[in-house]
Amino acid sequence: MDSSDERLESLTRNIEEYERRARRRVWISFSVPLFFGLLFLGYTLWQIQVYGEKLAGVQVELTKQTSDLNAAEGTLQAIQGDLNQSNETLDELQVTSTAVANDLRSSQDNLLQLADQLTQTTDELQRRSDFLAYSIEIDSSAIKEALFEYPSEAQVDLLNYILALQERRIPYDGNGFSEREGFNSPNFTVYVMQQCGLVSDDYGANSGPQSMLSVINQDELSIGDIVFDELGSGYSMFYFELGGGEKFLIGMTPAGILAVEPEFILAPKYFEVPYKPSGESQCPRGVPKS
Amino acid sequence: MALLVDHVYLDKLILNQRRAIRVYVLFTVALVVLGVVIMLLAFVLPSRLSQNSAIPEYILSGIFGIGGAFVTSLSGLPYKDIANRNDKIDAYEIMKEKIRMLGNVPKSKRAESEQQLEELSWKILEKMALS
Repeated sequence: MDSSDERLESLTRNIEEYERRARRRVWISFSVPLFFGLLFLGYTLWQIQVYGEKLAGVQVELTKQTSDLNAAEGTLQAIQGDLNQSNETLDELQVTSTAVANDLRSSQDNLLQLADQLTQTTDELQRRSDFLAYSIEIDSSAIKEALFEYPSEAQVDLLNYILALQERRIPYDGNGFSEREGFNSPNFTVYVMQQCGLVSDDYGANSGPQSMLSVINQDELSIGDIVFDELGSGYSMFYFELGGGEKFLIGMTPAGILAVEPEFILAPKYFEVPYKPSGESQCPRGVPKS
Repeated sequence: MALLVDHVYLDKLILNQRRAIRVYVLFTVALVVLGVVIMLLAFVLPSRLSQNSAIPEYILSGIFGIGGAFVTSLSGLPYKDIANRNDKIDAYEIMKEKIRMLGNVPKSKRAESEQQLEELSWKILEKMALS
C-alpha cells in the first residue's frame, strides 16, 4: 500500500504540475495575442497621431499656400484691373492719336496746299522778277522824239492809249476782258485793237490775235505790230521803238502793263496789225496822254 | 480493502477541472467585454480624435472596429480546452458512479471488482488527468 500511496501522491503532483502548465499555457495563449493586438492597435493609433500631426502641418502649409495664392490672385486681379484701365487709356490715346493723326493729315494737306500756293507765289515772284529783269523805263521825252518817226498817227495813238491804261494800273486777270476786271496778255492786245478800231468788236475773250491777224516774218515787223510767244506762255505784246532805234515791247503781264526788252519773248511769232493807210485812229480820246 | 481513488479524490479532481473551466470562462468573458468595449470605442472615440487630427473619422472607426473584432475572436480559443475538461468531468463522474455501485457487488466478488476498478481508475487517471 505504501507504493500505492506514493503512486497516488506522484499522480497528484503530476496533475497539479499539469494544471499549472495548462493555466500558464492558457494565460500565454490569451495574453500574447492580446498584447500584440493591443500593441498593434496602439502603434496604429500612434502612427495615426504622428501622421495626423504631419498632415496638420501640411494643412497649415496648405492654408498658408492657399492664403498666398489668394493674395496672389487678389494681386493678379488688381493688376488685371490696372491692365484694363491701361487698356482703356490706351484706347482713348489711340482715339486721340487717330484724331491727332487726322488733324496732322489735314494739316499736312493744308501745308501741301500752302506749299503749292507758296510754289505758285514763288513762281509768280520769279515771273515778276523776270518781268522786272526785262522791263525797261520809258522816258517820255524819248517817246516824244520817237513818235515823229512812227509810220502814222495810229501807232502813236495806240501807244499813248496803252500808256494811259498803264497809268490807270489796269490789273492782270487770267480770264478777264474788261478794264474793271483786268486782262490777260492776248486779251489785252485784242481789247486795245478793238478800242482803237483795228479789229472787229465781235471778238471776245480768249480769241487771241493769232485768230484775227496775219503772220509776218521778222524782217516785215513794223512799229505797232504784235509779237506772240509760241512757247506757250501766251504773251502777246505790241512792238515799238524809242528814239535812237531802241526797240521794246509793251503789253499786259502778270505784273501789270509793262514795257520790256524784245528778248523777253523767247520764241517770237509776228503778226501784222491792220492799221488804216490813212493813219486814222479811233483810240479813245478821253484817256489822258502822257 | 479501501480504494486509493475514492469519490473524495475524484471530487477534488472534478473541482479542479471546474475551477479551470471558470478561469477559461472568465478569460473568455473578459476578452469579449474588451472586444465589445473596443468596438464601442469605434463609435465614440474616432469622432473625438478626429477633432484634433487630420485623419478622417471613418478610418479611425474602421481601425477600432478591426481591433475589437480581433480581440473578441481571441475568446474562441479556450473552447477546445473547456470541452476537453467537460469530458474529463464526465469521466470522473462515471468513475464515481462505478465506485458507488461497488457497494452492491457481493462480498465474495468485491475484492476482485475493487482490484479491477482500481486498475481501471489508474489507467483513466493517468490518461485523462495528464492529457
